[in-house]
Amino acid sequence: MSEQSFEDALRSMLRSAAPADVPASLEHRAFAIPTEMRTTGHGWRAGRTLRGLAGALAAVVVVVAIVSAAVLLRPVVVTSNGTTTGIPIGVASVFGAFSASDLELIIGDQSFTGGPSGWSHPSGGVGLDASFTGSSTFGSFELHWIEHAAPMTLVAYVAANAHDWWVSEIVASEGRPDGTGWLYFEGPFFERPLGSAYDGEAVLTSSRSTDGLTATLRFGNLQMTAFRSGSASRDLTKGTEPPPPSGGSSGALGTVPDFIAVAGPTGGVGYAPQLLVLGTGPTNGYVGAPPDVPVYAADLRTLVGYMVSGRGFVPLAQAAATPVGTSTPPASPGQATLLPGELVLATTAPGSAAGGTLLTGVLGGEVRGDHACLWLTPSDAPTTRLALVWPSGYHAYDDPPLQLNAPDYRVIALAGATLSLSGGSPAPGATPTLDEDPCGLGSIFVVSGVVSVAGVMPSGAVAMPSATP
Amino acid sequence: MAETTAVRSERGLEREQGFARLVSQELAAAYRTAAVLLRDAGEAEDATQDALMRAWQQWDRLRDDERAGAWFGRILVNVCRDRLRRRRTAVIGWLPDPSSPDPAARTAEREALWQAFAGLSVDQQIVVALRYYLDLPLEAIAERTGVPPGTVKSRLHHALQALRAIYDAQERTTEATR
Repeated sequence: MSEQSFEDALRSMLRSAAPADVPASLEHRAFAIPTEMRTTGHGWRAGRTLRGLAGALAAVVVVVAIVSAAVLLRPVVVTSNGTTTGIPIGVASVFGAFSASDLELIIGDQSFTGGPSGWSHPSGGVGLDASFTGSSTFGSFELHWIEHAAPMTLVAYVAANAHDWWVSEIVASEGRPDGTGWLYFEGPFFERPLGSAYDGEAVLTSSRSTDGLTATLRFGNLQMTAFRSGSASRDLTKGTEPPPPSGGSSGALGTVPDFIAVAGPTGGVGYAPQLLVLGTGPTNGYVGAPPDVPVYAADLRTLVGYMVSGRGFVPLAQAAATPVGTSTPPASPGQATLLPGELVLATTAPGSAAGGTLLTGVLGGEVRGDHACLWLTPSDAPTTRLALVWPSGYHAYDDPPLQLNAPDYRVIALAGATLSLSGGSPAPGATPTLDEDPCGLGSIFVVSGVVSVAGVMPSGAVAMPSATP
Repeated sequence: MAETTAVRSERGLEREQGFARLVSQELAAAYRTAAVLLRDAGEAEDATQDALMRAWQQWDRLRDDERAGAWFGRILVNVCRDRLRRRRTAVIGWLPDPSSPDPAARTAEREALWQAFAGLSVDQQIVVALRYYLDLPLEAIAERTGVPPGTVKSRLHHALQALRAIYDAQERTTEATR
């Protein structure tokens, strides 16, 4: 092969990587640099460095083939008299791009705009953290800032199939000083064919919140696109999470469907995004409990409810009508009547303690007198056994093997199955009671819901009581 | 005092006008060069803006406005080099912009070349891109990379050897399958 043809091939290859057009947003920002640097000084640069680090960390957490999480932010624009005129926001990464002339989140009589008192960096600069990352079919755009002394987070979840992309849901902080509580804006929003951007104003009203608040979210001159690397070129998949290859950590993400089947007390209720269920999504910057995990119908677009910490699956109508943080009355304690073959199972009242943790591992169990000891060996801690305390109404039978049943006696799982459970552990130092931990394992996990089950499923999958109490 | 302020204002204006000229003349080429070096359009935007910000901050060091393009080119190369070195994850795939002047189907040769190019050292990638994308002579590449022309020549030689080996092997495979 001649030297010339080789060099021609090299030139052609390099030129193929050169975009034809310069993005208008870059052109605008470039010419504005003198003005923006003059008004914000070095603080902006410090903020960008932090944002770059946040993006890089997010890329590590996602564990999928994200090429980079480079983040670009526009600075706070300050007028000559020092008052903020709005917070232009621009984030561009290999995954997606978001820009808005300003944002406004109105909660009651308070307005949050991403500033203006803003978040003071150690360097004295002002700004907010942002990232836009995801996998081939699901991702999130995130903003973090401090305003009115409250740590604020805004997350827009994006999804895509072979043809279109859309924002499936937006969640935002309630503006409480301790940073807890979430507002939920139910999607889908901004649906567009892959490769094209949403362009326009957006005014959204929240559908529910942790504390029963109502909020309005507005983006000015919003331009948004996602999956811009062209990675979304297939339809979304759904199903159950396969068991890990050898009892270790979860299998390769490539073998896990995009949306994982979610079980409620009465059976399958829908599908939750893999990245949220498995906790491999990009967000780790929450204060307090993370937002509830959205659950979608079989079309993977229609929201049907949420996996709520401490309550398990909550249908949408019920979730919208009742503030999430309102505890429901405790159920009757204990299991007064046991059916033949039924064992006493550690259960708790709905709404009682449980964090927002999602835990995956192998269900183990043994019979101790008339009690069922059920525990989970987490995938990432194979020598640990956590005693499980189940939501009220769950049952256990020794068939054998030990089996876990829903309140309607449908078999949920047998010992040996791999489960993903939502819930949480009590504060460190708390000693479990004998009812909670009949086998004396020492550590308990209070289950709020069964998110997915894989492996060791019975063929019939339904166990009916042999007698009526 | 008033005179000093006036002089400063005039200099500030000149600086802004000079910077605007630089942006007008160099932005497109800088962005494309960054895209070629980084193989990521989003990161290329970041890098280009970073380089422009540095240029603005260091504007007083520019002694000759006529040399602003080359001076800025060196800043851009430094920014891209830093980003490439910071990368912990290699670019796994690059889909050429379909609107680019050469949207030809990605041939096996090109795929192989990209893989080989990604395997070069950062400094080698830079000299190859400056030579075969921007068509810069060795002296200009030396100016932008801050190394002597002899070093540029050496880097280019070794980089081309590696690329050529991959290219020829792919060519042979392609011939054999015809």
